[in-house]
Amino acid sequence: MTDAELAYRYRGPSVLRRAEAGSELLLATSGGVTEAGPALRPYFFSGFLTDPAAAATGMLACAAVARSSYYTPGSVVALLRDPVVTSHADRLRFESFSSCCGVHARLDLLPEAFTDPPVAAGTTNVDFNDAMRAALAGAAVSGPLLLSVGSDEVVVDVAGGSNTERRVPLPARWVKGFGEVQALARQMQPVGELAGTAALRFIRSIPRSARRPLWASPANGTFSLTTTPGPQAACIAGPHRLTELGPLLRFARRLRVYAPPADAAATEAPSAWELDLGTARFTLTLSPEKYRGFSGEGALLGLLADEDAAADADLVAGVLAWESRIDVTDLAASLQIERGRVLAGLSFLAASGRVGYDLADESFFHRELPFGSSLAAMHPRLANARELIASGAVRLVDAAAGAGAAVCAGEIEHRVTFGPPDRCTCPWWGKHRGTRGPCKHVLAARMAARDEVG
Amino acid sequence: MSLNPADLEAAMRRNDVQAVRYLLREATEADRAAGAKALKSFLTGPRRHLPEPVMLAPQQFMDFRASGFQRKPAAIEQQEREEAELNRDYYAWREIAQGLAFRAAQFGLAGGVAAATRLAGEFYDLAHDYDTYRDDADTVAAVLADRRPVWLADFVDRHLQSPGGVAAWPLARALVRLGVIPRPDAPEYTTLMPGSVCRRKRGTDGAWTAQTPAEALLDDPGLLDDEVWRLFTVPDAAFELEKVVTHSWVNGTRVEGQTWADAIAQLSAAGLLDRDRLLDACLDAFNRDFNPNRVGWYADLLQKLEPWLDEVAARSSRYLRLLSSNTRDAVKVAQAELGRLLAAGRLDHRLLLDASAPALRYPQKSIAAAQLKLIGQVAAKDPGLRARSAVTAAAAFGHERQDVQEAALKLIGKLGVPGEPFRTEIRAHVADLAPSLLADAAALGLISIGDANEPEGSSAHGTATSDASSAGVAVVNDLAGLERRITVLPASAAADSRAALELVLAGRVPGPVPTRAAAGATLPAPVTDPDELVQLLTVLLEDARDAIALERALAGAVRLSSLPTAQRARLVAPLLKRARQFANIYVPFDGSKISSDVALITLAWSGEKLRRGSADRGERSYNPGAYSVDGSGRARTMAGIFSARAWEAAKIIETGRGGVLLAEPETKRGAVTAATLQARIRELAKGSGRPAGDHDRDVALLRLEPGDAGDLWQAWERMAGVRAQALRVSHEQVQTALSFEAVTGMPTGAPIRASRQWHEHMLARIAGQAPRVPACDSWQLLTDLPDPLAQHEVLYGPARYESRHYDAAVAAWSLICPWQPELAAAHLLRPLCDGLVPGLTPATVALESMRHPGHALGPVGHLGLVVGLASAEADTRIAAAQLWSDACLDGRLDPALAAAAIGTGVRGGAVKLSRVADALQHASHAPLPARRIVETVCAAMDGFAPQAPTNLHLLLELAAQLVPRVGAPELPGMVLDLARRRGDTRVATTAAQLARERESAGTELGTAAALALAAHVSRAEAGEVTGAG
Repeated sequence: MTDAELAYRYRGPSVLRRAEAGSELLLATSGGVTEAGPALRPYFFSGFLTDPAAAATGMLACAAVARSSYYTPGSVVALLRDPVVTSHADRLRFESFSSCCGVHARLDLLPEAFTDPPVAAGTTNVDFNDAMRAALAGAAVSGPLLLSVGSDEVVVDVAGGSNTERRVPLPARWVKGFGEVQALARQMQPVGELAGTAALRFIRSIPRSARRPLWASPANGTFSLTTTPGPQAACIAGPHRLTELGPLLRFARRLRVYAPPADAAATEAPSAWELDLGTARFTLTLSPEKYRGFSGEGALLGLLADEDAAADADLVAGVLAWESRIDVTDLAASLQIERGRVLAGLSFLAASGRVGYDLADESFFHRELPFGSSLAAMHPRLANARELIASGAVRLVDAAAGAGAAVCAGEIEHRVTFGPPDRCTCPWWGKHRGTRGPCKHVLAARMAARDEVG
Repeated sequence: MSLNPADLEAAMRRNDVQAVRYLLREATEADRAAGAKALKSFLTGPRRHLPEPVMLAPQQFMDFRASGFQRKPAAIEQQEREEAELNRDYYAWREIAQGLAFRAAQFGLAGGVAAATRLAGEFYDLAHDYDTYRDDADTVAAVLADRRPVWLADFVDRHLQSPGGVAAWPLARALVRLGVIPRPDAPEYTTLMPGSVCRRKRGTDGAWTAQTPAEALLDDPGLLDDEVWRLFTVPDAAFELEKVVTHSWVNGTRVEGQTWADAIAQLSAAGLLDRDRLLDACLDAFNRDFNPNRVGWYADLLQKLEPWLDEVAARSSRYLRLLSSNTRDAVKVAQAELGRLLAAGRLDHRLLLDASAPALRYPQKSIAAAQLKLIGQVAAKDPGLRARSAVTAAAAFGHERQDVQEAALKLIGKLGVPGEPFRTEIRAHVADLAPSLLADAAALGLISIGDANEPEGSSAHGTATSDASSAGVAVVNDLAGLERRITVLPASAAADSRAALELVLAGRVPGPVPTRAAAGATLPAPVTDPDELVQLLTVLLEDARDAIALERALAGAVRLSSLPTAQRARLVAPLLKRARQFANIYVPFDGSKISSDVALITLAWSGEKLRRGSADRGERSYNPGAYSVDGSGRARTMAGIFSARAWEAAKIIETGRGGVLLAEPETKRGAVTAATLQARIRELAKGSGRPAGDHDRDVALLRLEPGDAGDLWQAWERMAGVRAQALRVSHEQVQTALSFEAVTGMPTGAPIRASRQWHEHMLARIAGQAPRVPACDSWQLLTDLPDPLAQHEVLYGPARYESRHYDAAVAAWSLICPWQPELAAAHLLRPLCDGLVPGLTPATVALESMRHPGHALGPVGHLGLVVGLASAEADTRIAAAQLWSDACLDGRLDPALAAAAIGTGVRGGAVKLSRVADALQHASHAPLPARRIVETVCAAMDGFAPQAPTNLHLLLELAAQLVPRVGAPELPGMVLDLARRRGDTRVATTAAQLARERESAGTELGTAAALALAAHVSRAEAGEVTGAG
């Protein structure tokens, strides 16, 4: 798997201009997709923000996540990617993904956040350079703030095409994680919520560092922290990764916590921390462990290996039109397929970076990450499983009863036992026990069994 | 070719730097490549012959060591002579290679950026004279400047990012000054500057003198144009600036020199740096996303610049904005300057009030207090803004510290509660107040008296609901149900619960339940399915922390070893590669890594013959306790008991005849019933007839439930070859209640982590003599605790080396002696004490192994709990808080014992109260654990007299916060004495606060009492209450 490179070609740097009447934040855009197709420097929005301080702090938090690596040393900062903006008919979403692939941040500027709606829909990269961020942080944004995403000025590009160009590595695992976090979010459910002051106190009570994952569960008007999982508990691995919530707490009306269903035997799991800022929402999603990015989760591999889901995904993708909330029932009706198939297709698209998931709205939204990458290249385990099948390494055992399979990997024959949960005798399974999705042997066995039945 | 390699080699040989430069100056890249090729063997030098290993007899080594490695044995001297002879050419070449001319020439001939970067990193590998490092860098820069390779800028960036070897910043700066590269963009070009820019020189007396930063900057004025300003925009530059303090030595005395802040201020005063730009750069720096803990230097510089009032006034909006910074230094700077403006009447009061809210909720109390003071000043200066000031101050109700909330209430009281609509705005914040302040709020008319007395569940606590608290409410609602459950208890068990019920009815909280150890829930049937065994081994090879799974796998492997070898080999084949990896790394069955034991069991089960272990142990006289299992298979530490049993099991498996492990746990806490043990003995008699070994027998005895075992002993005698009487007596003796004493201090011997010093420990010694037991050597091993500080190294064994892997070993300890939880806790104190200093330790696992309600907590268990609360790691403290909560709800926690443990730990220097208070905060959400915190704090107080220990106020403050919720027992004399003291020390203030809160009703007191009663009743129903209560 080779890593690609992403070239940001901005017409100029993003800037904050000060004026007597207020400030104007011009966000430069680069690449992406709009309703009309791929665009070089799309223009999405220009309008006044109704709560500039909260929006500006949220954008800065988003940019901070993009520039952070919560596990590797800080020296990688210079290589980091810029946030991504998705424009819908009624809202703007700023998304960023940390360099360590373990933290995803999204700021949703809701319809109430601006005086005029966006002028076009699509997704693009936006420049958050040092000077602009410092200016935005230092600006007295209590006054009016005019935000522009892209420019509607017609500028004839000089030879060379752009005024600023920056190239950054684009590791496949980063792109994969950026997409997968959305699909994982769909598996989460609310754990609890706290009002503004209680949220502030709770977030501040979380230790900055913990060597083992902590679990937060509702307790007497706050969340209590433990080191063991339980029902209604959300995992916090690497609590320092919640740092970016800090500056936003003063605007927070409510904190909602989401996590996949857990019990006393649960293993480390992702969690999402959503601050309701009134006219905006800021959501921070953490990977299950601080040293573990979303890219390694593999929870969706079973789905991605399913060719039916892939076909449904193609079907669904054909009718998406930058909706800020995708109504699954409507979609099922219009496509004349079952709701479950639409959901499978959407999950498939989420893992491919083509839709996002909004926990508060409990719905997918359409956005196309502005980085091209093939699904197979992003999921080496899936490719390896296909390779095992192609090489005839999979032998189903007692196929009629669905007992399992023997999978030859080199000189070792691993035994796969169909579950639930599916089990294997490989060290990878022994280490993770299915918590990071199926191993390549289980995946290959399942695919072979499906082929057998099909 | 214009470059003559022979001339160049000659110049290098005579260390003639100027000649090297001259010869290389005009050379083209092609010339250099050809020269490098021609001189390749000279540049790389002859091969160095490495010495052959020397074999010493043990006594020779001991003598050598005894001489401090000075008196070399003849074999070593001989080897050194041979090595010198073999390396004669190499040493001659090294003399030349150490010369600067040689090293400079290397840069002139380097084949590309990678080679140059490597050379730069290795620059001082052969020559170690750092006195000339600046000159060396200048020389290298000159050679490179003459050459101007296309990769020069890339090379500088790479070397700055990995700056070992030739001085990176001076080299980069020299190249910039020579105009051959642009200023590097790498942040290191800025962060390395503060520590590198000042030239040092050694005087004739050998003492070093260094330039001041100001002198250095004046020496290289170009720095003032660009590099200095980068210090305000590059992350961590301020951190580096703060670290650099130049100094000199005068007559052997260190004299502190100029700081960077002094230098910048001095240059600004001299007009060499734009003062306005400096002020703006400092303020901007606070707004950049720098680490908030690393920007103090900017505040320092601002202070040194002493901004004039006009300058501050011109920047008032920026200072106001800084009030919302998350950087403490920034907020403090802003508060100080805004205070000056306010005093001078040059600040818009409304703007200050509008910007105040973030500072009022800043975590640090002093920041919030200072902001309240500013608001008070605004109100005093501008009576028209009194109402608005009161509304602004109310934002501090959201501060997590009660004293800040109280100060805000006082200010509002002083200003007077305004009328509508301001009153409504203030009332919106009242929900954030601590319950104990609601009465004060009511007194001000902010809420009605009824609201002030509203019990738990008010909107003040957000909307998250709790299983625990809702369960508590349910218990309160069902007090009658508890009464009914008590009436059906057997008379012997009911007395304790009845006494507890009477306390509850009298409005008091019953104490802990006098419990005995319990077996826990029954485990699933033993492993008899080979597939299940293989799955267990698959998992345990990677993660062996599940002690029960480990026991089941061990017993299952023995039981299923009667399967045909070929079948076993086929089944376990996928695991063998991994198992061999482990087996090849670790000494077999040495107790240092449980996964290695699993690997060996796996290999044995596959039919492989294991290598014998005894030869692998070697002489242990150098490191007593280095192995937890000795060469004969005998456990030497608690950690070794499992490995010794695994070794016994492996031997049984190797015979291929199947078998039974007598000690296989039957319940979650590892217990075994007499009936099961007897059945196993019968099964064994029918099968191989051979017990696994002494350790299996020992552990079976330790795990066997107390009480009459019927005719077990005779059956066992026939099998074990030990007299029935000895077995019976042993079983009785291992149930003996042991008495322990806490000991604190530094262990003797080598520290666990060689890089660290020992820290204070709190361990437990057995008081008196533990009974001698005829048929259980493991009991003797476990109870051999007369001086745990002196024995620490021996008892802890391989953890010294393998602490990363020790979780799995420690997780199994409490299962070894389930009926002696205090004994297990005495051993668990060692990993728990590891956690008293930062680092990854098994302390959390040790705490989790005590969480089962059947693990009774006596004095030693409470020592362990308190050591966990005092851990340096947050997650261990939280695990301890969880144990605290669990133990409160199941009745095991005894505040008196917890208080005694805190007192002992604090007096012994092992326990820090700040950490204990932080940990207990995490346990304070539920009513009963909160109540036990208050009781513990009160019980601990008199133990601290007469001298209040450091941070006692934190415990008092926590208790004071909880009392309005859960009430308090009688306050001890020391609290009352402290509360009566005059002065405003924190401990006196918090004691007074606790004394005041004592009058509170305790809104959750009823719930706490009912939960305590429920613990008594549940324990009585399970027959786990002792008569001692």
